[in-house]
Amino acid sequence: MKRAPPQLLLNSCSESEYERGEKNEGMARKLVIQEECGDDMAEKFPCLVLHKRETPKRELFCEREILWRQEQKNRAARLEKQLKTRWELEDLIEEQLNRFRAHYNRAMVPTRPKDVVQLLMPNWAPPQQLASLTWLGDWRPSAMLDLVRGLSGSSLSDSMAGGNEDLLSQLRHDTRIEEAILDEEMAEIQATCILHLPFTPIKNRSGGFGLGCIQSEFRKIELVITKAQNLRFKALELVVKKVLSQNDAAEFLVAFEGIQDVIHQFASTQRLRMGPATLSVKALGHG
Amino acid sequence: MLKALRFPRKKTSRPFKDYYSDWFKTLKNTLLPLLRSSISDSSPTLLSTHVEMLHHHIQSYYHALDLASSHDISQLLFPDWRSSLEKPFLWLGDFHPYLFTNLLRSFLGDTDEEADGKTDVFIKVGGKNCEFFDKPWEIAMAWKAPSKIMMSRIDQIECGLRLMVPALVDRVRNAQAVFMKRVVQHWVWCKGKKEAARASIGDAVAAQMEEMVSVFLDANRLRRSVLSEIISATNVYQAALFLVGLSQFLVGLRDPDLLREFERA
Repeated sequence: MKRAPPQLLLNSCSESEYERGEKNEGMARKLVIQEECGDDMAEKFPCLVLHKRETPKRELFCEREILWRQEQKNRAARLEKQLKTRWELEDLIEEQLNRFRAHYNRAMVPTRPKDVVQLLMPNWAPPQQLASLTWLGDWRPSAMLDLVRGLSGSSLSDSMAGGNEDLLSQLRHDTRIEEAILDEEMAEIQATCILHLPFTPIKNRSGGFGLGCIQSEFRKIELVITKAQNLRFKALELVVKKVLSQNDAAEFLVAFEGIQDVIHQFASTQRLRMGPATLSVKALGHG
Repeated sequence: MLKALRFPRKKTSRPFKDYYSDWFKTLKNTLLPLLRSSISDSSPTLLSTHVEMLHHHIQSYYHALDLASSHDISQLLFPDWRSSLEKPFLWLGDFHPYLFTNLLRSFLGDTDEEADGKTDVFIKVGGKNCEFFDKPWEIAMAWKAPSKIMMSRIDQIECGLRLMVPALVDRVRNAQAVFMKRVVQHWVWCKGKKEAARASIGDAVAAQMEEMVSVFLDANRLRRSVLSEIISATNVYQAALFLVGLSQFLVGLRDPDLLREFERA
């Protein structure tokens, strides 16, 4: 039962609002009538409907309706804004992961032998930072997971519900095993280098001499560093994508950078304060 | 009195870098040449003295590392006074203890390979200059038919290492894990404010460094004891060749020509 709306109504509603709400309004109108007159009355006496429409109550209803629609519109806009923020957050997290991927992949780029030294003991990092945080030249992967665990106990909101705590524990366990494997690979190189480098008493059977031998050993080390970098990125990616919710992942990434910076600043100050490493001459027996 | 209080370090301590430089010069310019010459033509008594001197020199270096660890352990774990060639081969601040046993095994392995006697053992132990070509018979035959007692002692040393090394690696990792846990706590308490967090992590750093000192001392103890055991398990000729091999390695990694070539590569 669709009719042209009375002029009164048209005057009090803006056209566009009317167009959008026309269908709903028709339904609502009918509801009001049904409420006031009962179903039967409205069916039997359609003139009552026209009559009702002219009353002040009708105007009140219309205003309420407009307010309602306006409110709906505002709420939807706010939701849309939030969604947009979420998408922006998602983009930012993805972008940051990509930056980490690129950062951790730099070991894959063919490097000069002396770059290997920089990767292991970077000049920019004070020794105390290296001692506190690093393993094979950068963040220890299991320490990244310790960071997540630390945050989850206090400030992360919802990620650790359900099976995510178990997932994190499993990831930490596996990462520690992989770290131990790489520790052994590195130890193998460090312990057998004496047999492969050119100044050992026993001439080695394989490889060349001089710089060639050194380059070959450094390439082995570079390979271990590459594996360590992959392990770092894997831990980071799994934490951000599988373990944490989007908000918590963002919080983790902020803490990840922040804590590294805090340790770096602390270690730099410490290095200046301590000066170069010294040895007590008296204790050595030369004093 | 006031001066002594204001500049106490100048009188009682010196930079480790300087100590290491002097230590290295003594090794390279005095003790290694002495041992080399006594390998070639000295009496067993003199050889034994020179072996003992070089061994003591290396032990004194580990002793110095131990003493310096109370000042700033982190610089000893990542020493900037070691050469670019050495740095990647450092494990807890110095060479891996497996390196000592591997060097020893390499002498023994050589003997096995040459059981048929076709290869001249003089060349093998002599290095590129065949410096011991004219050495006494005892030196030439030093690694022939090693005693069973010595072999079982080497097995024991390696067995001990296989237990100790992973335990030390674990302790480093655990110290880092505990440190991270504490730092995150501070981070949360400080609501992510970097300044406040930096001001509050001092205790966590100190606790971790304390544990690192303990690990470092144990690592040095392990290196020292492996060296001592090798020297005591071998006879004086074997010990002399072992120490020359180890010293040549230390000297070689700081060879200026090689380092220049390396920096240019």
